[in-house]
Amino acid sequence: MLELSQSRRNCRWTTSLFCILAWFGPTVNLHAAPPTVVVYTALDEMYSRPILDGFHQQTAIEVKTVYDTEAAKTTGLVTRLLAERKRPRCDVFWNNEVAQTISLKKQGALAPYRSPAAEMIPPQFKDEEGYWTGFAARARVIIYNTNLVKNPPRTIAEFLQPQWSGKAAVSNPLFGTMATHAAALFAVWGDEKAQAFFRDLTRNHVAALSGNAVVRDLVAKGEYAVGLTDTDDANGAVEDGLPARWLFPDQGPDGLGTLLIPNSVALIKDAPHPEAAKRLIDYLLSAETEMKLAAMRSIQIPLHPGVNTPGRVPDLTKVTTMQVTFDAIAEKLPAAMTFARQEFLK
Amino acid sequence: MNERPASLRVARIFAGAVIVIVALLPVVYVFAGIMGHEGKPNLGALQSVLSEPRQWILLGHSLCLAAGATIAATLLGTALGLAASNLRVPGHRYLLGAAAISFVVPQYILAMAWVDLLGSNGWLTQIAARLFGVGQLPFSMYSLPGAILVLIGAFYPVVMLTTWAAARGLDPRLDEAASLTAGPWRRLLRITLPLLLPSIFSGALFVFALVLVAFAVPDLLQVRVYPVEIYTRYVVFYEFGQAAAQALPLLLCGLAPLALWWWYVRPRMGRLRFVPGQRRHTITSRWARIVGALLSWAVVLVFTGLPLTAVFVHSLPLQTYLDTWKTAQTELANSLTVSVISATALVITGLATAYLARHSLALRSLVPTSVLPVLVSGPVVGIGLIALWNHADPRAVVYDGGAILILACAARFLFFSHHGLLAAFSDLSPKLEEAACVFGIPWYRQLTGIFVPACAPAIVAAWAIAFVFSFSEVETTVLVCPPGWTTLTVRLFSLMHYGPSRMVFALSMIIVTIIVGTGLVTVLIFRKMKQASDVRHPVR
Repeated sequence: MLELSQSRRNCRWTTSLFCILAWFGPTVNLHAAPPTVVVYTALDEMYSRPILDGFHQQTAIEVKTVYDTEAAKTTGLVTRLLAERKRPRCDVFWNNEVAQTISLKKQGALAPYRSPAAEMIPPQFKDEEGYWTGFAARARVIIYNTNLVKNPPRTIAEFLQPQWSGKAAVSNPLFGTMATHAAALFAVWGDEKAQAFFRDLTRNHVAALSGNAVVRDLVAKGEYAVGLTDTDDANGAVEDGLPARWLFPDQGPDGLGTLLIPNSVALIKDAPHPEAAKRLIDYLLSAETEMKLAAMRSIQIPLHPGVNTPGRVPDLTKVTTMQVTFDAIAEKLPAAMTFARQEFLK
Repeated sequence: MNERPASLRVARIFAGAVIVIVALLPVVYVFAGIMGHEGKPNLGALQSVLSEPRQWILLGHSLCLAAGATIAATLLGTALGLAASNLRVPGHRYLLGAAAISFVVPQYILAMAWVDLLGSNGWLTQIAARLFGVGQLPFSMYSLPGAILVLIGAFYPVVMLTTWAAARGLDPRLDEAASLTAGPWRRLLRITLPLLLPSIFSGALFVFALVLVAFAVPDLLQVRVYPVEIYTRYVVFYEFGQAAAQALPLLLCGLAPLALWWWYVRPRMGRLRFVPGQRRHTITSRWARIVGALLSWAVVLVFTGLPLTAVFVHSLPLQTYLDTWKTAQTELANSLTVSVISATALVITGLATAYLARHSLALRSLVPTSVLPVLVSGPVVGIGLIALWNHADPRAVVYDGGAILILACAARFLFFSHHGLLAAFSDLSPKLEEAACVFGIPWYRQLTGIFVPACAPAIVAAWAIAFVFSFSEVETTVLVCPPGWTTLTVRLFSLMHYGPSRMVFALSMIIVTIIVGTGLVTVLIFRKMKQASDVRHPVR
């Protein structure tokens, strides 16, 4: 055996320790845990991050956020919550729509919490049993390129006209608010008519793109003349000075009405940090948060009465909204998604 | 000396356990999902997946994508590799380095850049419209040909480097003998190319296997292929059994090229032996060199320079970087932490396994199983990690923290670190080990005192490659990323959903800069260490 110097022995021990730490170190939490809340949010990061930063500044509670991703959108977060149901890591689910939140409620992933901050929010935007609460709504609107279109379609049914063949785009009905929109049409029209509508969209070469932001971008760039998207995306294009305008569809006297989709927030069942979660929910449901969301480019429409908003935020009293309940939409969501999977995932 | 066998046995068991836990179990858990998940039987999943005609269409898409990208990347890579080695293209080392950039840059960044260049309103499309009156490409970037184009750019460097390295290893005497009767082009076609075919074929099969499981590019370009379908099945519909069942055909398709390599290519690769000190015979025609150089640099500029220029230009003004920096510091710190630790862990494991497997048949048999996570695609590994670690027991400690990200990177890249270091060790003379044994030096001192110093340059290279791969990883981490541990690439992947904003391009440039910077620093360190190592350990 060769003689080992003390320094080389130390070096070897240090290396061994480093090897062990390299594998197992990250499992050890070296910091004293500060008050924390974990939120999964499907609202675009550019809008949700400032709100969550504001909560952290106000309460000193650390906010750990998981945002949705390009490929999965809201659905990915819902799946993740279901996969973690037996051992939740998330405290608060901030969804950018309602149907998937109701689906989580049905699968027993949520806990009831009636926030005092939501007292003034109209009852149609709240769950009767307190499992979720809606706030800050967006609308599904038609966006069109002003360089290409003088007479845009006024109803979504006009997307089936030959003049829009290959020139119109929607986002994939499997994901995000388009999935909610599809489920709403299934609820209002019935399965048969709704399925025929989507099949006709495909026959008319209406593109199903990966997201509402992509619809906005490609319409603004002129790759498509018209599209169906959300108010936040459409307004972003207008504020950027791009050749795009938007309108509320189906506003005629016998029209279907525009689908209004609020954000929804819910407490996760067996959340690891329930008290911090309730404080975050209260914060999100406050009129101040709605005011902040309305002041952003997303121009989300407050549901609290009397919230001061910039002039560009639509006045809900002047919009004909689609007459459908969120429970009915959630009821039809599985059927709509099953159909969309067959039709759009070829 | 009595403690030697016991400690060696313990070390081998530990190394084997690491391979099993890191690489094998996530895949086993996925396939166990075919039988049942969360207590619910799933026996019909495989049958229902295999009976759907749509599944065969998707598999067809995957195979078309893999075959198209592989054939084109092989032809391009072979031509460029031969040009770099046989034509003595000026600055051929820089050429190889520049080409390698497009392999190490995350593919989804290249895809975004190509959409920006060749989309309906892309720069190149507009230039083509002005110059030639061609308003549109013959294909959309959001299609199978679009994905093939992006993947050709990402993978041709693999074949190029393989060909170049193999050409350098050819015995020059064969070429010299042939030169007595044949001209340079005939020698190239009749001597050099046939000798290089096994290496070119190896590179091509490797590319095929990687493209077959590519997820990010097809997903971004909305091309329906198997990995995207598996991801959708799990993430959108939460159909664990169906997703698991779909991973099986993908694995079988991935194993086929591996089997082909093992039985046909591998036995034919022994002919290549580099003879140091002998000058290689190259094509010396001036015109051939000029044309070769121009074409080679043009290809590299198109596939590396153009996309990166597009990304950089869109990220301007510089204020965007400041804004991005303010919001991405945590993610950058997370990415660096995860990448440094996983690279270190991969190299340590690779070193230990490469050394310990030399005299252990059991461990040597276990090592190849680390290829399974490579062959089943990133999302499948992610699903396996969730199934394995997301439980209300002590495993939760791993799943809730950054350790799950390190396991994700380790699972995906263990195969590469093992085999890279195994190759480095196999270059060492067995006499070193024999001499050490004669003097009674324990195995662990042989490893740290002989093998590690002798292979130091290879270890540095392996660490850098593991770091770069881990830093770019998104296909698995996007599924398992815990709250508070968002990495830079996961953030970028999320932000892409809002459209290609300046911040997306700035984040992409930051990622590219870190990757390329790591590569440059590694090359410098590697050269210095190689020179020192060659002086100290001339045994080859």
